Amino acid sequence: MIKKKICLLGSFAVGKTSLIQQYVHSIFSEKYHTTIGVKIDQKSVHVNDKDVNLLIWDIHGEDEFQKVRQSYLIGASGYLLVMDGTRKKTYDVAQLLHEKAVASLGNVPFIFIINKNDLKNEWDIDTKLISRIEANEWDVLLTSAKTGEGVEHAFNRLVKRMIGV
Amino acid sequence: MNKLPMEVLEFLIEKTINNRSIAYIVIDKNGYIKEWNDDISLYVDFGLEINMLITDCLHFLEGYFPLQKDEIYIPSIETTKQLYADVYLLKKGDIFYIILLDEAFFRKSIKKVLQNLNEEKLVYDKYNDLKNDLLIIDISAFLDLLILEHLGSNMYNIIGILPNWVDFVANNKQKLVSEVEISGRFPYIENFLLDAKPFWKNNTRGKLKSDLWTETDESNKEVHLEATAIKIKNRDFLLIEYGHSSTDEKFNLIQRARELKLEHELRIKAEETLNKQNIKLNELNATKDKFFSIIAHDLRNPLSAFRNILELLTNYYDELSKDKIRDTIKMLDENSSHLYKLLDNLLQWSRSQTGGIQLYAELQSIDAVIRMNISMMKISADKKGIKFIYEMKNDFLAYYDADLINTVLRNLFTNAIKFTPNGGSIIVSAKENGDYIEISVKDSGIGIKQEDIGKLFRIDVHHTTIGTLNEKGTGLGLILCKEFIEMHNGKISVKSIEGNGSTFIFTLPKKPF
Repeated sequence: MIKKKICLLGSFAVGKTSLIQQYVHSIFSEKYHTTIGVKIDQKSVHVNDKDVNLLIWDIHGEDEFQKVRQSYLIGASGYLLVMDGTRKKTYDVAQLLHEKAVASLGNVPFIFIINKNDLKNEWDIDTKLISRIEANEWDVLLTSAKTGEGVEHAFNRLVKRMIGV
Repeated sequence: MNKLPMEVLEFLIEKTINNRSIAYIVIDKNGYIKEWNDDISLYVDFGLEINMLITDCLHFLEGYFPLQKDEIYIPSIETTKQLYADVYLLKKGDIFYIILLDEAFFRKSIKKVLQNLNEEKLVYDKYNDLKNDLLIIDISAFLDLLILEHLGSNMYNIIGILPNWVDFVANNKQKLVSEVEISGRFPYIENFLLDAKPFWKNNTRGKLKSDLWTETDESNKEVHLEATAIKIKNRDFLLIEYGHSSTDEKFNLIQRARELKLEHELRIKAEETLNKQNIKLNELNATKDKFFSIIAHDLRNPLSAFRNILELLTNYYDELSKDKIRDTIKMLDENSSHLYKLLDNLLQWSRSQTGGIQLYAELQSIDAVIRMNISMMKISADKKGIKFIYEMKNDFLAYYDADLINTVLRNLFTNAIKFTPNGGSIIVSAKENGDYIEISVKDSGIGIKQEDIGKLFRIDVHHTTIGTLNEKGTGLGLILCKEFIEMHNGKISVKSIEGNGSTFIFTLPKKPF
């Protein structure tokens, strides 16, 4: 079985843990429970006749209390870069972490996720930010860890890109 | 808190006499106090005295003495109103020790002492000494510390007693034996070793700590772990620590801080929305006020004058001279012209307020629109002997809606004529400025007071000035100009010195917007 490491990167409270919980255990909690350090979950998936064991690294959010260590990223085959659609500042953190990831991993596959799509009426994304995101030419997906919308798709898409399907 | 081993307590008494987290009292076999350290005041409300009976100051010890065992442990005893302590009663010959440990201070100080002691023992290579070896074993159990010696490759030897938590933590049900491959059980460690191995290889002094990481135990409860790499006498050690109250404290602090930060962000966002709504409401209010003010004054007054003139003509037509009739009709003409301009602006403005104006911008000549508007205003300018000076060497193209820019130029030219005395001049020019074409209208008129410049484009401030020939205005023209230019992503501004003319400058984009 192929083993692949995936990291989830993003500001605090953008929903990284919730995305993993939804993807691995199909559960969601409204309560905000901050991640300290790193939590590693595993999930086996079958993609294009290949069994892949995913080691999913839930890395704490980057802010003034905790900084993401470059060494966390070593060995990752891909990453999900997560922002919270209701907090436009989380884009800047995502951008910063993306730079960190590129410095550490080079150009491994990643997907940019705008989470909390269920709160679209509270979104804090203006046309200026949309054009900044578009200018990056990133692979952008909208998800809701709460409803599960787009979550499976985001992980599967990343895995497919990682194993070169 | 786990029970402290005897050796550790002895060490603590010896080494941490002045540590605020630990207090001790020495009593004789009959329970009379013989000695104590200053920190006992943390746990006892009043001063101790030599030969005082211990049960008089620590009531909960009633019945314990003389001790039946060498060591008695009493956890979580309330010693003062707020303070709980773990109490140890120790027997050393005829002397008894009463030791009080405060849980709150424990993680900060005692734990640190123990950790240092543990590392110190390793550092000074007393590892082979049986007593110290036992101490290490005791401490590793007491601290819930998994101590591993790196044997090369990915293999480790377990030192001391295997803490209970190791078997509860998920990932791998296989029991740890003496020689283990640890990274399978803790995938995080594999990553930490990327830093730890060079640390060991380079014989670096001190210790290398990992960040906290999280595992789940059998009951699916999250537990926090932390790893430390140390090098002692050419041997590589890895300590894995199970998160206790200090990690919980850290977790709670960060959790609370982040919750507060989220609340703060939400509050700021709500305030911003409220402010935007307030600004919008104020604008709407100002628009409504402006509209009523125009209806009440600017429209009513010329209409009323119009009526009076017509009344004059109707009642006294036969008595008026031909010259007087001609003058009166001229007045009617001027009045109707003013009214027409006013109504035209009012209509356009009300359409722009209700979103009724669609922008049809296309790439077209700047020269053409300027020339056309100059020719339309020439009669008004000629009446005051005002000369339009306009010379365009290169024609520029810009994206604009001709109808809207006609209104802008017409208003700017009307104002320039209005505020320029007879015989003056109006210079019109255009030039490239980055992605925009900049058009300016400069008059030799009366200029604008500095304090009035800021009012010109504001809907919420009523500002009109009578022209050099008493021409009236509504203060609506420039507001309209600003709206129309901003619809083109352009900007409008004014430079003026009172008594020395004004220059209005606006920009139009060269590229589609």
